[in-house]
Amino acid sequence: MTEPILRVVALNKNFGGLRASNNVNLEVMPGEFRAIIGPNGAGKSTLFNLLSGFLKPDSGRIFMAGADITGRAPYRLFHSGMSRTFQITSIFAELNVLENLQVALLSQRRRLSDGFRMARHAEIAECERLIGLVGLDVDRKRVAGTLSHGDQKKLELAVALASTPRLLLLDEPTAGMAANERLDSIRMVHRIAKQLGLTVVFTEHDMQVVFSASDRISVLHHGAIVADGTPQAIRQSAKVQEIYLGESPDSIEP
Amino acid sequence: MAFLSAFELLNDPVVVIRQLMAGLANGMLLFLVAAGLSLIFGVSRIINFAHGAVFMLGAYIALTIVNAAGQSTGAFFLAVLISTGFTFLFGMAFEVLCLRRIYRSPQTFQLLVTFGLVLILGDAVKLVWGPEENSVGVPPDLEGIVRPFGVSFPVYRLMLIGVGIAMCAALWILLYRSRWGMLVRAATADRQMLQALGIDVRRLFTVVFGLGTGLAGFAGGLATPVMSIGPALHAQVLIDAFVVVVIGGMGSIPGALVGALLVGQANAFGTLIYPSLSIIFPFLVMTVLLIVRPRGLLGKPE
Amino acid sequence: MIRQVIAALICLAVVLAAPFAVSDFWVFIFIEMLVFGLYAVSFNLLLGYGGMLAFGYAVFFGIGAYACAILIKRFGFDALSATLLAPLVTAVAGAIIGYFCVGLTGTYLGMLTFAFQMLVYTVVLKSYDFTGGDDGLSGLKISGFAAAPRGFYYVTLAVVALSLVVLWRLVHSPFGLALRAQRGNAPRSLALGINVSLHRWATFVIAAFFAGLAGALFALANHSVFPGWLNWTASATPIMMTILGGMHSFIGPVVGSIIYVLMQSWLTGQTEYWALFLGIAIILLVMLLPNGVMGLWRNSQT
Repeated sequence: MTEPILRVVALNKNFGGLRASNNVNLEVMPGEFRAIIGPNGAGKSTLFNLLSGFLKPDSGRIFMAGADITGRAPYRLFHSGMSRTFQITSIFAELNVLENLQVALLSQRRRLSDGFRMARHAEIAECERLIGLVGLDVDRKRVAGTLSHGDQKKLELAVALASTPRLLLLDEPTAGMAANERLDSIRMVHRIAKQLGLTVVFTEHDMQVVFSASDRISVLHHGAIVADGTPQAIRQSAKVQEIYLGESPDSIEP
Repeated sequence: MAFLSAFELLNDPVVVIRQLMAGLANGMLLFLVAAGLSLIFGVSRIINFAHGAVFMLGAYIALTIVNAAGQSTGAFFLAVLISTGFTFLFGMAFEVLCLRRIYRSPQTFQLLVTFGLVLILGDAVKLVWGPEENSVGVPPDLEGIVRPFGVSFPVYRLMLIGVGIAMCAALWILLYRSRWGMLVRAATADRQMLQALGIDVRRLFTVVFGLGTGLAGFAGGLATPVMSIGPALHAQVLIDAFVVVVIGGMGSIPGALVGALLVGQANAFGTLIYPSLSIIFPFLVMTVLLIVRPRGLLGKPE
Repeated sequence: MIRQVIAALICLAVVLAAPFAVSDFWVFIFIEMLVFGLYAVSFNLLLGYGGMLAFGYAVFFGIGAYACAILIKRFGFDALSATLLAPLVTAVAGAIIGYFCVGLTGTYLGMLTFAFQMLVYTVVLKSYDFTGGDDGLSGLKISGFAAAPRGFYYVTLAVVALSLVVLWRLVHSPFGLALRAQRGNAPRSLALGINVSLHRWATFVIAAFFAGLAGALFALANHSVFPGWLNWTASATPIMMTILGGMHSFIGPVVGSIIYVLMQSWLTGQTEYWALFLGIAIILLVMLLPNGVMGLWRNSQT
């Protein structure tokens, strides 16, 4: 039996009186494409921030490939093999496309303390490979902040893939996209993940997206995991239907 | 050795009370200046390096009017009124002409602009009033000594304490009991929100800046009988105000009061106990505070 | 391409031949331009590339200058060793100050550097035996080739040129890339494995080193040091030069320092009230030319 790449045990986080994460238990196996869904305010962003080191849990443990990473700082988690994207597309707006990728690559190769060599020429071949992988067809010298929203999201994905992470966390990867773009986008990510053998955990609102690409789905409600299973099982779960019917009746139709 | 004699002095309750009251009087002047600085920072996030220079300007104006209109009490109050009004209008004019265009620019630019004003005012007072130091006498009706708690203390400084308390109350009413004050507090908390609500933030900024500089000018006018007014005055006042604002919390008026009272007392007792270290002490406090608790005593966490 | 090579060669020729064409007074002006150019570029490492605005940056220039002077006058070092050691001393100061600053943002970072600067300033003022207090230290002797102004010019030119090459490579290296990354987006940088605090700290140390080097050279050029170089008003100089030249280019601060030194030496010669005009110039500069001279030049190229 293989070890889970990510194991979360009894994770808790309170903000004042609000239980943002309530005794969360989670196991993600290597190579999985896992969705975390839940209505607004369910605690998806909090969970992601806890996993990626931007928040420290009040109690509980997080393990990555068997190693205890609870409370580890984000920059150390990167070097442990974790990579993430943010809900509001987060790239280096003032740097150009190439430089955005170079930062990630040089960081992974631990070359960022080099104060002497020219960064201009670093890792160009790798950058081109990543650009090709996500289908970002723009001038490499273009300043990232001037790219369209869709291209920025592709760039952010490429940047997150640059370190060949063991675990890729995608926070609302299709946010801000038009409905028809979303399916294409998640299918592309799914394809890349299977191609590279990556483990992906992503949060999502759009049920069509979720059901079209996930291997397993976890459902968050008021900070707690209330359901966990295959897309089939989740679709048929009465509990999940109840949670979503309260918000919007058609939301879990595939 | 100096320590020992200071201790002896401190054992004398008369000395202690007198220093306490002197500290209180200075603290009140400091409060007026620091409140203005904090108000400006709280609303527009501008650190007004020219704040001390405006204080100085107010002092010089009051000086001139008192000397011109005779040394009567009436002339003095007129002088203070005019210096306050002038610095209020001056501040608003400066804000409209120079600061308004650069709110969106990096902080560096705002710093440079206020610093440019320091240079301009520093030389302007030398040009108009000459490089020597001046002072005025205490207005005649406020001369003399009273004996509160059996301790002799100048009337004028007692008046300063009274004025300070009155201004505290006035500012409190303005900020917490008026609609305009509510806007100011809202702007301090969340500028963008206010703009989204359709409030003319630009005019608010202008008036707040003017109010801030007006307070400085008011303090400057009041300070003329108790300080010697010279072209180098602006630096000392600015530094004191900075220390107060850092202690109390940048953007907090109640913080400015607490900070001013503390610094006033520290100055009063510091010069008594260990005068040679007293210029280092405020910066030591400022440094330690910014390291340990940057938001000061009453500031809000960034 | 050919045009740029010719322009570079002309600049090189001018820079090498300059001291022979002019009087000693002007050689000193050129030395000042070089020293302040390095000073401003090191400042811009923090500001333009690192996104950190230090209100009290003159503390490093001053520490470098004083370290050099004290090593010569109190410890008997020769000028060369003092010049080599002073930047190291300043780098240590940068390490200490930087350690406390890197965790702070924007205004607080600036205020802390300001507080540190005034702390150092007041300590220097009060340590007469060591630092000469109010009077400063004078009579810094240089022997050998650099004793004459022209000799010193070439030494300064070599040192500054080498320093600028080192800094140029630094900002175009992976280190520089990470620095620019954290300036624009710190959370993204953290998520990509960059230890942002460590990176900023290292930048502080490097900037302090070169500012200290500039200070040491300036002390030797003047054969003396003065406490005024550590006063808060002195911190406006690197800011001004950087903005004047343009903070978004590497060479901008050098251009700014050349213009600033020229402007200041002309103004001080014209009028006693040069600060007034400097203040007006600063305000106009910020409002009309926010991208500095290099920004203007770049716009004319497109």
